[in-house]
Amino acid sequence: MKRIIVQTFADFNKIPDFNELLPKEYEVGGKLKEQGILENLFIKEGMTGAVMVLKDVDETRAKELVATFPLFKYFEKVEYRIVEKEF
Amino acid sequence: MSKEIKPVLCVLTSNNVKGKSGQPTGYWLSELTEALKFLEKSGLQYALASVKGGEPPADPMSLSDEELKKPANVHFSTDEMFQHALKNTICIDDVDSSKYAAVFFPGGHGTMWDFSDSNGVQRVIREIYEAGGVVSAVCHGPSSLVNATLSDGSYLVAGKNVAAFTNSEEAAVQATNIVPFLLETALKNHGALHHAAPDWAKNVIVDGRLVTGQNPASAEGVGEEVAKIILNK
Repeated sequence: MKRIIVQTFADFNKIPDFNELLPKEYEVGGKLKEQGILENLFIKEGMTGAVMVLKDVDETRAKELVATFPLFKYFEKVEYRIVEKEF
Repeated sequence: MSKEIKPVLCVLTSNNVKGKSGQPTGYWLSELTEALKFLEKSGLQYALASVKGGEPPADPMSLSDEELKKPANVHFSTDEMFQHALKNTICIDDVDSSKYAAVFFPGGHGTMWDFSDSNGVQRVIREIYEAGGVVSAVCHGPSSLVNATLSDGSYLVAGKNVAAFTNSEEAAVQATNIVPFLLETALKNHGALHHAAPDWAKNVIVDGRLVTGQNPASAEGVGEEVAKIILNK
């Protein structure tokens, strides 16, 4: 099964309405989790961005989904890394 | 160009008997699978190793009907790649530490007889930790840490906050007089700041790049914290 690790970079400390946006961010994440698309979401140490892990989507769809998050406009950079289980 | 994320090396015991008692033992299956499931959910790769290599023994009690119904055990029971890797683990002495972002030691009483004195275990811990990687263990898995030293000769656990199977839990499973040493006591003797939660309660301690958990209930939490540290980089 392929997964996409999405690394977002931003200074959350500088976002003026961060505390209002964060619950909305998790709300979007919750819906994607219910759909089985989002497997993991956490804020990075130091509030320097967030990490999401998506499954069963291609990179194009992943980019569309990430753009739906309320904090997306504040992301300075987003990296997409496709990973597939291997030994 | 994003940086490469290296896999997590999971190391299992090769010991299948509790010393002179003759009781069967091995690694505790759900401590491996619950941590691995979280690593997998985080998109991380992993490799399986053991002290002697080949197929390590699972503790028969971790294969009971009730245990095998746990979601993580069910998940991996049908995972052919995992099953193949489990039957063909790498010998710890042959491990190239530079390939891994972290090492994880699941427990099972078996570890108490072959982790603490394994040169390979100690080498891999030292090399991964000193290269900036994560060292992690759960339940009896921290027996791997008891004698692990850094290049300056100091114990890795000295002055560090850790969780591990407690003396109280060892008494609860009537193994105090069976194990070769008491894990909580041994860690404290080498300078660890051991934090005990009530018996069987989840307890995960993160001290920098050292992640430890107390018991089977802590395995998933250890996997979660290891994943966070790796993906935070």
